Amino acid sequence: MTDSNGSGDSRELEALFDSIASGAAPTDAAAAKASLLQQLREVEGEEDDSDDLQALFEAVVAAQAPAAGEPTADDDQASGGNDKVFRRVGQMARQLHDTLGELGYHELLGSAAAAIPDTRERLNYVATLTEKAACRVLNATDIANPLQEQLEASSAALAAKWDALYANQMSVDAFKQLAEETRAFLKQGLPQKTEATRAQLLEIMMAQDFQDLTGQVIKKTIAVAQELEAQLVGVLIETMPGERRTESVMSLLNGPVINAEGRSDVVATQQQVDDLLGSLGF
Amino acid sequence: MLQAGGIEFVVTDWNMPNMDGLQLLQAIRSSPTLKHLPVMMITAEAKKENIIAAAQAGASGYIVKPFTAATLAEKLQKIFDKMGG
Repeated sequence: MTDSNGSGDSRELEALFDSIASGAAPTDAAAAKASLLQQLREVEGEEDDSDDLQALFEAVVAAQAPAAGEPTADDDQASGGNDKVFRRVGQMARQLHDTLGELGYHELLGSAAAAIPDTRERLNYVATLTEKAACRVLNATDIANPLQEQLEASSAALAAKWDALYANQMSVDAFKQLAEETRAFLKQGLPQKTEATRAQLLEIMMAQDFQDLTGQVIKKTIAVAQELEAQLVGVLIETMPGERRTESVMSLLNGPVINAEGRSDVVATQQQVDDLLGSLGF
Repeated sequence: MLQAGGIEFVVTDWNMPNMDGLQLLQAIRSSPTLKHLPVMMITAEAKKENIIAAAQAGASGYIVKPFTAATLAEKLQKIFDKMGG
């Protein structure tokens, strides 16, 4: 790192170190610091946006870093400058990487986030339609149930009277009255109530029309959810540190295989081990 | 301990503290005095990568847990046969 008598490359680096070192002179650094502080105050006064503040902060840090250490011997100065240059280049590379990453991910997440309000609307629509349908069905059954109960009660009453007739417990006048009642029930009461019940059955059937609409909406929503999931997983994979990403795949220390079923990357028996080794020529 | 001599056959697990079985195997194979030692791996690691890695590193045998005494005897015999021949 400190070899300065080598190739042309190292002479160029040496020149770079010198320029850094001269920039690190206490007076210059102090002056730069003062002017930067002046700028900082101005910026604070204007309440400028955070990007400028961030840039200014980095500039201040960069100006202070070289001024922090003041090497005495020439070798120390060269190596100190060397380290600082590398550190600074490293910081810049890191910043560039972060910024590019954020830009890419913002776009990706932005499109995903934009789909969410639309999806919320769609799900609201589904909730409204299904609620309406449920109400219609419940109302229809509330109307139809008493009709059926009335039919049942009327039939039971007539049946009891007919039973009495067959048991010879009925006068001629009472029989005439029963015949009249039965005729009225068959001609009016029964058709009227069955007609009303059929109308309610039709209502229940019609209430299922929501399924056509909600089915379409839910299919679209599922597509959005899958898209969102894929994008989030993508971001997760890209932002995960490289070591951890490969760890799960590449590690040779996984312990016992809990469930070898359906996995092609593991062996389940000693026979498979032997076959594999055999195929490798052992 | 291995360098001290007197050991003629190595049976090792893979997952161990300090130095894992593969590292041990590599250390043995890279040592001029020990590289002739037969090394048998007995481990729960059952990924194909593990077996291939062990074979490439020069393992004499590979047994996956759980294993039976018969399997162990068979593999040991196989190694002895190879050594004899």
